Amino acid sequence: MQISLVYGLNALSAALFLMTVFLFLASRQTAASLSLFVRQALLLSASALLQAYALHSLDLLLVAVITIVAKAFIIPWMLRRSLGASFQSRREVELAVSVPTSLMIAIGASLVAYFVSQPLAERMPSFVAVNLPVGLAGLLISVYALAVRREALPQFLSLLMLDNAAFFAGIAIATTSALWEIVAALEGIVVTIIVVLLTRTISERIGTTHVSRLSGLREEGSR
Amino acid sequence: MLVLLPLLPLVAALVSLIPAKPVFARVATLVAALAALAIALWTAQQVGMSGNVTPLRQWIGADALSALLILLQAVLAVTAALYSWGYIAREAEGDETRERRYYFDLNLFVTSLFLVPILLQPALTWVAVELTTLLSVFLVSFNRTAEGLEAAWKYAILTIMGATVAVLGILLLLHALQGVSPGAPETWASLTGTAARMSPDLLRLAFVLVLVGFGTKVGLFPLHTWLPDAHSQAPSPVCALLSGVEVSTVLYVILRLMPVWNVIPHFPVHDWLIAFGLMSVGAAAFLLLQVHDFKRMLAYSTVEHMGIIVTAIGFGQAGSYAGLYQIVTHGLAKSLAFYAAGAVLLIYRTRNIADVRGLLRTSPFSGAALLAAALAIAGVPPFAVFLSEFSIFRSGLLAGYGWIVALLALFIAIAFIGVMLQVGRMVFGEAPAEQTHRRLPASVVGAISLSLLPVLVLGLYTPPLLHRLLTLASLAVSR
Repeated sequence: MQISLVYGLNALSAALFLMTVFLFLASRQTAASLSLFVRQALLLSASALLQAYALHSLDLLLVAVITIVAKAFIIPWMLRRSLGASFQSRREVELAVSVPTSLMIAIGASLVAYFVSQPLAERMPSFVAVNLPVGLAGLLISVYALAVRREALPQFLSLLMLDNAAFFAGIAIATTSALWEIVAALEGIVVTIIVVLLTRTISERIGTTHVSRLSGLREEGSR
Repeated sequence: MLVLLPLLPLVAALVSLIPAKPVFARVATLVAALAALAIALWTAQQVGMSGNVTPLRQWIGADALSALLILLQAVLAVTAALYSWGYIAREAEGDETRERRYYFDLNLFVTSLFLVPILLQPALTWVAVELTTLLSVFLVSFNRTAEGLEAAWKYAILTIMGATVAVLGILLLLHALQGVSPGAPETWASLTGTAARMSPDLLRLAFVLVLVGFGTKVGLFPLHTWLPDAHSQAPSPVCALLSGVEVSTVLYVILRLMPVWNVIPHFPVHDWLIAFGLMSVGAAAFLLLQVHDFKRMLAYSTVEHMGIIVTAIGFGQAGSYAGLYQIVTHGLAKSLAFYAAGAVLLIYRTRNIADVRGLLRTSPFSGAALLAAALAIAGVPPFAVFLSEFSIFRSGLLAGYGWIVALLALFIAIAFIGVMLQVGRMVFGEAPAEQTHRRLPASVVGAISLSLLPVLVLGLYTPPLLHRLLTLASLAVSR
């Protein structure tokens, strides 16, 4: 495969990656959000594979494989198995801000990410020039998505998207430190186990995973 | 020896899983903490003499900054283990499985705390910081109340979010390192040694990501919202560890990178720190005036103190010594305060300030301990915090930050009024007629008495070893 084609395919995976972030922001159903997360993880792995090919890096190949196993299979399987009812529900996820407004904010965040990383990207290899602004945009939009979602599971999915975004930039930036990227991918599984256990306990004890209804801890509430 | 430090609580965690009487878990936790304290003291001695200890090159080691933090962590691990002995037995109400589970979680949490300052690779340190959150989530929700679960949820989501933002900053630094020194080991030392040759644009972005990311877990304003919840809902010995040392452990990562930030040309790193620090002190000071829960009051005081420390670091080299000293004095005083608050909770069974009256009459020991702890965290002489805060003011004035020092002093004064007003209402006056005195467990009394000692002693005398570690650590931070 020609190297220019590899760069082109990586740019395509980056564009699709950013699109999944926007679709996630617009998505109002938990099952659809999870499937977007899986697709995003596959795009993250695709980018790692392309870079592994271009740079002849065994480390990146390993990162790609572990990302697919952990994020496209194990984490979604654990979430569906433990919190299946939440995914089958056709009820719409409650958002603090309307979808059109959120999309406008996401466009603004993407522009900020582009202008912040532009001076860096000009002096860096092509993979970084593509992955850094897209990863940074994904990071900002995912933080926003987390802030406007009012239920536990969609909040956690935003956190997983945030993780993907950081690693989308990360695989291009730190190509030589695969050891800890592997540790971090495995750690994602630990995070999921802990959040699943916590969500189940919240659901059992309080009868809802609607975190906006968990509002006992405010100064005016503790009187 | 240093390699054993995180292994000791790990072994105690495994012992806690044995389905025997909880006393095994209690003894294992206390013995492991005492052994860890011995290792921490040995490390401090070695570092004091030779500057660093490196048992596993490029993997595990300690310099003065690490040794200082390890010492604080180990002291608090001992007092928390002792306090937990009687406190958790009463909280668990005879549920032996629950008590053993507590010690398992507590020891794992202490293991993760010990890992942060001894790992020599920033990426692995990041993993350890993430572990401190993951391994303490179930300690925060130990009581399984609605409020406890809410606090645990906010704690997990916000601090993991912060760590994920910070990871990109760390990755950028590693990329810059490989750019200027290909094949160099990815250690803290390599980063600080090559920072001057790195791209300033890249360092600026990394700084913002690391400050915002780890700042979330340090409890800096405006990302502090999870802290009063988590630090008030956990059992008191856990609160002591969270407020006394966990936030400082995360702050350590920002401090460790100060020599990297210091070389960024035309970038006001110190002004950023002062701005975040002052905002945190100011916000916490005003929130302290309207708080109704005495454990939340102590948690807001942690936000205030983290702000003071970050402002001090922003003052430069002289501020670094004072700021690091404040990390030690605050950690000791805040653990004492949470132990005293736990004793009040055992007696009154409420965290509501309005429901606690006449504490000095109901339980003179708890009342006196809470009053002493409040005076200590408010920075009244002769307690240690007074000395460190005074040093911060002095360093700020010497560095030419007169107006900042004035504003800082004003916020600290407001916080002082807030804390003393609330505590004054609790300890003085007539006790409610229906309130009966409940005998405190001996371990609770012992841990409080033990914690009071260094808070008093360090206000009057700085041991030469501590002074040496502070000097070396402040040089490492302000290089």
